[in-house]
Amino acid sequence: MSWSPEEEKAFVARRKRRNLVIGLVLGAFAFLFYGITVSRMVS
Amino acid sequence: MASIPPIADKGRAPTGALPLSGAPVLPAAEWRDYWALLKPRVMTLVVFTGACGLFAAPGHIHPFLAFVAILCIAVGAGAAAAYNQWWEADIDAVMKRTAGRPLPAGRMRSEDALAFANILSVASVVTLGFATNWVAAAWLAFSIFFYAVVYTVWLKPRTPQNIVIGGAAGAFPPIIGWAAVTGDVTALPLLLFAIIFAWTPPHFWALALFVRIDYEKAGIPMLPVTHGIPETRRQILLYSFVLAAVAVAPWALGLLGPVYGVPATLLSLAFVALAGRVARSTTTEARDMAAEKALFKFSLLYLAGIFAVLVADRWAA
Repeated sequence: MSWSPEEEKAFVARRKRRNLVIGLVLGAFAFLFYGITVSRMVS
Repeated sequence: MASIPPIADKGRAPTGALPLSGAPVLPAAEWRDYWALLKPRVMTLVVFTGACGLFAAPGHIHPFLAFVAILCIAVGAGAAAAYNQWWEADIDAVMKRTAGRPLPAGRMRSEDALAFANILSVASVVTLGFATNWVAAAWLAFSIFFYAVVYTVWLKPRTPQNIVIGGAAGAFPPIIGWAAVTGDVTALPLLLFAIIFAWTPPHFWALALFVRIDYEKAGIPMLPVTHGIPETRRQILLYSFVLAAVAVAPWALGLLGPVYGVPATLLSLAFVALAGRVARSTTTEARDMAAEKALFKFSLLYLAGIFAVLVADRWAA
């Protein structure tokens, strides 16, 4: 499939935003398990 | 009637982001499309009833673990919604209300949606198990299975009773919230389950009456399509009586006090009155169905009110 430069730019921008969100979600998941561990130790 | 692929082909179409409603092909879905896959508006009610089950349960839970439990219930509900949209992409494409969703609009690949649902299911169940207990995690896993398989795949396309039995899928959150605190399930969370179970049919049938044409086009055997409008109105009234009885039961059985009982009785009387208006209505035009639209809107307020006074009663005690 061949894209026009505008379509390719839009695709790259969407992929970048999606990857950023995935990174944030993974970071939040790591923090979540850290929090779970600490909370269970305290309670 | 629009042609719908046989059951055996379901879940495999669309593939490769083939647009079902004429949208341009753009295979990189936005994060917003993944968010839409979770049906965030439905999730609101699930979070609310799950949180109420958790707050009403006797015992103590660390606030952070309570937050994690509610988050897991929300993510589990989102996973079930993603399975539902993955399976029903072809049906969604022919319904005006749902044609703009990421899969039927061709903004997301079918396999991406399935992978997303799988990841969320496993993550929510395992996290809930580690954070609270495995009884709550097992209830969450069962609720996802029930919504995705029993309701979406099995009942919805086959029987007009789909909403009645499928309503159970949406009724699990208070049980999960309760179990997250106590590790078991007693009479009160089962009654909370019964309230949502009895509330679902009149709530959805009120909606189905004024979007009947959409369901008919999509070939979904909703009660107004299979048994007609008058029978649906009669069933709404019957279920409203059942709902009122179940909603007042926790007070009548002495499980909750008057802080719950009095408002629950008043709300239930209002529900029955509105269902009575629907039963007396004779219009068949969707735009004239004021009684049905009023009942649908009130039913949302009703459920929120019942669960709010439940928590208030427990805290007052």
